[in-house]
Amino acid sequence: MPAGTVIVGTGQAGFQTAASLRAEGYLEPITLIGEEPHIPYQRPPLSKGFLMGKQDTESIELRPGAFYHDHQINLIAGRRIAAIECAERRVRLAAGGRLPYDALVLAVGARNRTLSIPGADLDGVLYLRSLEESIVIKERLAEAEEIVVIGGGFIGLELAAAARSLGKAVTVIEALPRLMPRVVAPVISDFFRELHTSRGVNVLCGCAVSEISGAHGRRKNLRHRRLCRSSQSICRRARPARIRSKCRRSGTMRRRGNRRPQRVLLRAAVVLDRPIRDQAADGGAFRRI
Amino acid sequence: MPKVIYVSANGAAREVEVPVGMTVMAAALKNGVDGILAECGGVCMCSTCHVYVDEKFFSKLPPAKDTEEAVLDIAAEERQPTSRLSCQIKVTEDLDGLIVRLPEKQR
Repeated sequence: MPAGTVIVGTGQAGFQTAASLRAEGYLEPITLIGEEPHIPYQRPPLSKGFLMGKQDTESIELRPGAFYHDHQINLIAGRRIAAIECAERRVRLAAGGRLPYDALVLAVGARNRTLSIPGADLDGVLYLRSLEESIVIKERLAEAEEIVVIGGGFIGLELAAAARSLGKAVTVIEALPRLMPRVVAPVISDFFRELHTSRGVNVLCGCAVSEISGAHGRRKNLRHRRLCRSSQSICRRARPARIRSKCRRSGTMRRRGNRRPQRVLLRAAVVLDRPIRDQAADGGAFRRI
Repeated sequence: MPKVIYVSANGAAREVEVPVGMTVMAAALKNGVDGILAECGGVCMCSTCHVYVDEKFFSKLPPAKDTEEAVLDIAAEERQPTSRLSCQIKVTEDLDGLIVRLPEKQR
């Protein structure tokens, strides 16, 4: 019996590979394996409809569970591949066991970059990429009043819009001088900046976050609460010594090809490179919002 | 529960019960109806859920929005007067018995 095709990664690409193979008449075994503990789902709703409660885990499934059985796709969710043993044409699972293959498809996707600034490990500093992470953000959003989104790309802005429409005070911090700079022209960046601003989102461009301050752990003490104000109030309150001054120039911020991480800060406070009121005063790059 | 009848390009019909409020696209995926791909997940972006709505029902549908009109223009199979994107058709009691024909290809 042929070993067939093993597809590593249960995202849209891995799923579609399996579905297309069957649709095009491939008859040999197909194994679709990935570390996420869910059947393949759509990621786009995670930053909008899912957070808003308009879609749930079932409605974002790319296909219902029966699809995999009906199409003889062996779906193994929640398992991580530890190694590819090319010579033997098989993959080794982290939990033990091996899967032979005739063809191997790697559809493992990208990973968020993690923050490496002081305070990045504080409670309330969250990342968004997976369904698990979106579930946590949704839960935390319910009780958060003010949130800061680091990254003014598509996903960050979608998340900001979702949080804003839930009535939260929202600040978006983008390191480059304008929103979505890698994917749209300046005129479109301007349009969306206006749009988000008109809906009450505080948009800061050309700003790099250098530190996040707040209490460690999940304990919510007074100091923690006080620090859980918006970035604006923190910046006003912070002593000058605590505010790092290293506003970076455009073009030096990001390595190309990296998927931009989306970080959501709930309850932790962000210390900007410069106080917001100073940024507003200097006119050029910043506007008073 | 309203029924929707999907007729494939080769004439095979498949009847599906669809809860009110669910889209014709989502019901197709949920019930394993071949011929609707819905690559964008139902957000009116890709045209791979293109259907030809039976004429009896076409006038019962709310008119297509501008974005749907634009996306229909890029459908893989030729657009016809009753072409719609099934992700934009929400099933109502009034649409019970809705017949949609599926194009031969979606991309």
